[in-house]
This record gives sequence, C-alpha cells and structure tokens, in this order.
Amino acid sequence: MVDMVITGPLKHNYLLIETAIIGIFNILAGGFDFLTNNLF
Amino acid sequence: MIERMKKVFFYVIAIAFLYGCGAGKNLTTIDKGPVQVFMDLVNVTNDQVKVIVDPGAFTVGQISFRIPKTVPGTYSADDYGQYIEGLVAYDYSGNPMQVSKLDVNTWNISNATMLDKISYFVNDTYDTENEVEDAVFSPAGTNIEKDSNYMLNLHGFVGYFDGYKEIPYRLIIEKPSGLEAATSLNQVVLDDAIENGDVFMANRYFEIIDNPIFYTKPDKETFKVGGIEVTLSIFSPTGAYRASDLRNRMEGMMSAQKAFLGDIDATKRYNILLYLSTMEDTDARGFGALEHHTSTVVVLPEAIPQDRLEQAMVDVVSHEFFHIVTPLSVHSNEIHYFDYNDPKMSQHLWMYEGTTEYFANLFQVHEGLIEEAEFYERMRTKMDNAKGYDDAMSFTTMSMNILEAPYESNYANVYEKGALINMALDILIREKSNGEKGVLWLMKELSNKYGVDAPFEDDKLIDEIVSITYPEVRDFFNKHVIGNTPIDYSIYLAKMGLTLNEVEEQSGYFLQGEIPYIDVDQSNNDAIFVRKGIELNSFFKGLGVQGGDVIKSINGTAINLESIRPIIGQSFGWGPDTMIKLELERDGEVVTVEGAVGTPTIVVNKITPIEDVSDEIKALRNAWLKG
Repeated sequence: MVDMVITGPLKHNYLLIETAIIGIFNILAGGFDFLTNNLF
Repeated sequence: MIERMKKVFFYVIAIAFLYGCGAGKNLTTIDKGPVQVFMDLVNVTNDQVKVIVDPGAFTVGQISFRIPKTVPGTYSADDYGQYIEGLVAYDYSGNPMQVSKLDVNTWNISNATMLDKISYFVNDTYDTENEVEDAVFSPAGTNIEKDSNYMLNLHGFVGYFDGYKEIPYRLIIEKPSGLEAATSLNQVVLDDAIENGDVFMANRYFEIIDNPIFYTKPDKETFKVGGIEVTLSIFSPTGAYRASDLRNRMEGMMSAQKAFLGDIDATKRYNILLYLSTMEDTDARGFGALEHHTSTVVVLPEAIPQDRLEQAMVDVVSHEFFHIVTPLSVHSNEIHYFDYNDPKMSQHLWMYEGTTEYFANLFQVHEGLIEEAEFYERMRTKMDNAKGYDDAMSFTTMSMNILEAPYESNYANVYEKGALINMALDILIREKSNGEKGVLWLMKELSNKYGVDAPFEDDKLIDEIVSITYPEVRDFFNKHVIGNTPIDYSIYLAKMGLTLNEVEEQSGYFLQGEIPYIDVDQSNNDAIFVRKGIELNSFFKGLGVQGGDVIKSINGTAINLESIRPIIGQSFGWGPDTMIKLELERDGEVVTVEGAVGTPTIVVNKITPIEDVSDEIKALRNAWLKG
C-alpha cells in the first residue's frame, strides 16, 4: 500500500499535501482553491 | 438474431441461477462445488448493487456469513459489512429465513441445512468518505457509478461462509453495455460474443479478494515487460487523460523494474487499474495505491498536471509492482490463510513493505533512472521522516500488533525505517559477501524456496535468513528489528565509503523545496502556524519565531490560508535586506518580531561520498548500487 497522504514527507500537513500533489507553482497561481476546500 | 440469442442465453443462465434454486435444486454440498455469486451492475438503484450468493448445501445446523473486517495490505480495520444492507437468506422453497446479525460484518443463519441463497445490497465507499471518521482508503474502497464506472474491490461485495474460504467461487456479473472489465481474475469464456455479462472463476476466496475488477468504458494500453503482460486501464471523469498518455512512462519504468529483478518471475500478467477522482464531495480522496498479487488499484486526483501524474504513477506503481516479490512470492501463513475477520498479523512488515519500498528506490539507481546523489537524498529523507515515529519500537512487535495502539500510529514508518532497515541489511550482506550478495539475492533465494503457494512459518523466517547468510545478520535482527535499538545509519554508510554529515543549504522562506515550514489549523479559522518538531530555517530562527507560533499578521496584513498564498509568492522575490514584521500568538500572548529576512538557509543531514576511499570500498559501493 502507498498512501500519499500519510507516507513519505506528506504526513498530515495541509499545505504540504497541496504542494506535493498539485505543485507549488499551481498553488501560487491560485487556481486550486477547490483542492484545499475539498481535500479535508 | 444470433446476437439476440446470445444475450438471451446469458439471461437464461442468470435467471436459472437466480430463481431456479427451489425444491428441484441438485443439493451438491458446499465443499463439492463453487459458491456462485451474481452481481447486477445494470439494475442499480439508490447507488446500490444487488448481490446474490448461492452456496452448495450445508450439512451443519447453523452457519455464519461474513463480509471482511480487513483485507491484506491495508493494515486497518475497515468493517466492510457496514456497507451491506437488506441481507435476506432464502430457503429452498424461496421463503425468507431467520438471520441474526452477530456483529457489523457477520450474519448467522440457523437451520442452515435449509439455506438456498443469500441476497443483499451493497453501498459504495467513495460516496461517503467525507461523512465517516475513518474512511476506507480509496484504493481499497468501492465505487458504483451507474453506467459509468464500477470499482469492484470484491471484499466490499462478496462474503464467505465460516470454514469455507478454500473452496472455488464462480462470479457472474451482469454489466451495462459499453463497459468492459479490467482485472487479473480468471475470466471464463462461455460464449465469446456475450455482451451483457462476464463470468469469472476463483480457486478460493483469497482470489476473490486479491483480484479487483474495474468496469469502465474501455481505455486500456497493454505492453510486455519481460514475460509479463501489463495492462493499464484508466477512468478519467472528464476525459482529461487516456491510458496512452501514461503508457510510455509506465512501460519504461516497469521494464527497468523487471531488469532489476532478473529471473524472479511470479506472474504472467499484471493489471494497473487507475481511477482518477474529481475530488468532489462524493468522490474518492484517499490518494495512493493498494497492492494485489497480480494487479494494483491506484487512485489519484484528475486535476494534477501530466508530469506530476506520471511521477506519482512511477512512485506508487513501482512500489506496488515490487510486491510481486513479497508478499506474493514470499509470505507467511498469516497472509496465505488470511483471517479477514480476526486477522493474525505477521511479524514481517519490515519485509512486506520495507523491502518493497527499498527496492522501489534502489532499482532506480540500479537501472540508471536516478543518479546516486538522488538515491542518497531519498534515503536521507527517510531518516528524517522516521524521526516522526518511535525509533525504539521493535519492528516485529509493531508488525504483529499493527491494528492496535500504540503500534497503529507507527504504521507509516514501515515505508521510512522499514526501507532503511533493508538498506542497512543490504549493506551488511554486501560487506560480508564481498559485494556478491545482497537483499535482492536474499529475496530470490526465499522466493525459490517458498513461492506463491508455499507460505513460511512466521517465527522461522529470521532463522532461515540467518542460515543462508551470516551470523552478523542474526545480531542485526536481534538488535534492530526484533530488538528496540535504533540503527546508527552512519556506521553502515561508512562501510560503503559514505558519510552522514550536517551541511547548511539554501532554503525558501516558507518552504524547503515543496515542504512548508508552516501549516493550517482548520479548527481555528484556517490560522497559519509554524510547524512544531522540525528544524526551522535561518529566516524563522533569526527572527526568533518558534514552532507552534501562530502568524497573526505579516507587515500589517492579517494572515489566514488565503492571504498567506500571495505572500509566499512574493517571498520568491525578497532580497536579504527586505524588512518584515510578524505579529505572532504564542501561548496566548501576542509577540511581535521584525528584521531583515536575510538569505534563508537550513542545516540538514547529507549523505556524501568520502573522497579517497579504497578501491575495495568503491567496488563494494558499485556492487550495492549497480549490481
């Protein structure tokens, strides 16, 4: 099993999951707020 | 006309199966024939699938029917019985029988000699992940999306009768037209043109659990990796991705894995079932993958860009594919005869997950997909991540008790310290064998001795490993795997001419690479706080910021999740003399700090080669990393 949210460096960091999954540049572009709102 | 007749033929089979089990039924005892299971994916109402389970005749007075509490690979108690509704048992005259529900996963039928069949409805798990506290991890979960896609992790749909897990199953699935099954389960071809149904056979219940079926509109790519036929099937809700988009990267990566493994050949086919989630409220949110012996279910968000999707697939599929070594070819009785409702866990998660994760990194440097420095960095990162868990916890004890506190919360360490245990063991065996043998050699030896159908005795494995390696290996296991002594990795790295040193490297202001120094407190209006328990960079340290501090404002701007984003963006343009004023909340007090932001750096551990090591050590290192 690989759980991308709890393994590796991800653990349970809210911002960290965003950056790991969709990439920091996409976050900075501001186009993925829905991800934050929906992920938790 | 012929097509119509073929369809009618299938319906005749199904209807005879469904309704023909009355007084005239041939009463073959349950141990003599397959348990027949019918699943109706066409007449889906209320997002539920009807399942009928028709066993042979029972000779015992009462029998329990169970849906799994847990399944191999998940290491969590998920109670799949909670998704079952309206269970009814019928006798041979078609009359409902008395059923007692013993627990969330178990139904008891008295007068079992009269039991003809059981029917029930199944709810899927993806719909409710955000409604329950402990959601089923999506790759182990189920999805029922009428006429669109069905993720049939069959432990969510098909149960077993106590004492009868080792008998064959026949699975008959009526499906919507236009959908096609992707699975490694053995499909029986009754008529090659049947369009509205599929029939599968399993030799025992484990094969039902071990072979998810993914029904989608066909989008598949098939390629050969050595002697293994690999099929990649995907469901992309908006059509953003097709299997062909991922084929080349998957083929290249898995070919490298096969080259690394050499003659370990545990399967002739392998299915990758990729579900891409919309991430809406009623869709999957557990991202990752679950292994099976000859397939894997992967769940990822559809929104990610292609390069990241490809990298995520490389990361998770390489890990899952290496499970064909262990536990597929090397596993204990606890896994081979898995008790789905009262599981006895094996001692050897250090191997099932640790060796697998180690190989998923080692093969990349071995086959030239990454540089040595990248491999060292990955191992160093695992050392840092492992610090978040109990380093003085016996790995074998943790493994045997992984479903219970305090061991459960340390589970994810199997991917961190578990991999590092294997790295240290690999180095030890390489050293003692002058580079000729390592953990890959060890796994091949164990695979040759045991294999898919021959489990080992759980408490004999380490003795077995020691007997074919070196006495020092017993000391290693006794001290660091069975025992609770943390591993000093620098000792093992030194054997390969490597050193583990603290070095100062450049950092971002709010992030180190993609890892933030800050986090969000959802329970406090999305307040931003500085993470505790991590090494902070010189920017935070220089200002006097401490882990746990809540950032109330930056240069007068009130801070929350929304307002921190543009400031993180602006920080990429800051210079050393940029001035900043932070208002912090610490232990209920407001603290203000200010000053120049400086050039952010952080002290990290680095694994680096020692210059001027002997040729023998260089050769040993080369044998370790390049085979």
